[in-house]
Amino acid sequence: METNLVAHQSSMMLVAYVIYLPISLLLTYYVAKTLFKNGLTFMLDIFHGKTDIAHSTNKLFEVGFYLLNIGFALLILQINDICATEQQMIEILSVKIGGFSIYLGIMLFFNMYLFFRGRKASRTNIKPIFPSDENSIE
Amino acid sequence: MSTYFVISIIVYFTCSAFITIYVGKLCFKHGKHYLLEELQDESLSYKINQLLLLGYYLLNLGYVTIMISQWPSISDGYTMIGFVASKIGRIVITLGCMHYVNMLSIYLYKKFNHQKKISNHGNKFSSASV
Repeated sequence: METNLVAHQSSMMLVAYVIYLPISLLLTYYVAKTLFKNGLTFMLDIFHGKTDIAHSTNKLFEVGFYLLNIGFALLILQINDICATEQQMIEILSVKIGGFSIYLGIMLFFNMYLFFRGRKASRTNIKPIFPSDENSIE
Repeated sequence: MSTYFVISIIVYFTCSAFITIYVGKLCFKHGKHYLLEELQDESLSYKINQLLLLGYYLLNLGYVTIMISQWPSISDGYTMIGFVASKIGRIVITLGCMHYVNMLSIYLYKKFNHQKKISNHGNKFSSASV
């Protein structure tokens, strides 16, 4: 009887892992794809149409975004509470997936803030950006 | 050594190595514009980029490998899944934080470097006018 309970708890934990991991990774992928597909427009505006620099900067921000989010998703994967019944499993899952979605939203807004700041800086910035411009002053 | 320990070492090491190498190659390809902008010499910036990539591999793969020595013994499969995931997640978050720190330092370096250059130009103009 006792081994049945322990086996049931283990299978509940396994189901929780199997549900949580794909949902969090797919959510990260979807948010990153949307953010950086539309963020390319901001980059093109900031760098005044130079496509390769805009693409590179967008890709670098995308790499950082993926790293932080996948790392966080994996970090909070471990279930430390008792997960013996279906009800506890659903509650634990809701806490993890909900918390991760909130974190994704915060990262999304942070990246949008960076895009807007870069756009504002590039519009009000009349100083030369590249050293080749400064050589022409001399 | 239990089989869970061996499996967890293999999974942890392959995932962390794969992520490190993939991110390194991406940053190598997309970051060479920033090197080119500071030193306009293309071959020199390519060589510096290669050296930076090598240093990055050494540091990160070494850190990943050393962290294996500080693991406790792993007894059953379910703690193994959670434990391996949290270790990989820690490595990946560390990579992400360092990535943002690097981008911030490039941004600050460019900002202060160009301000210094502009003030040097200003000094030249003012002394020339006198």
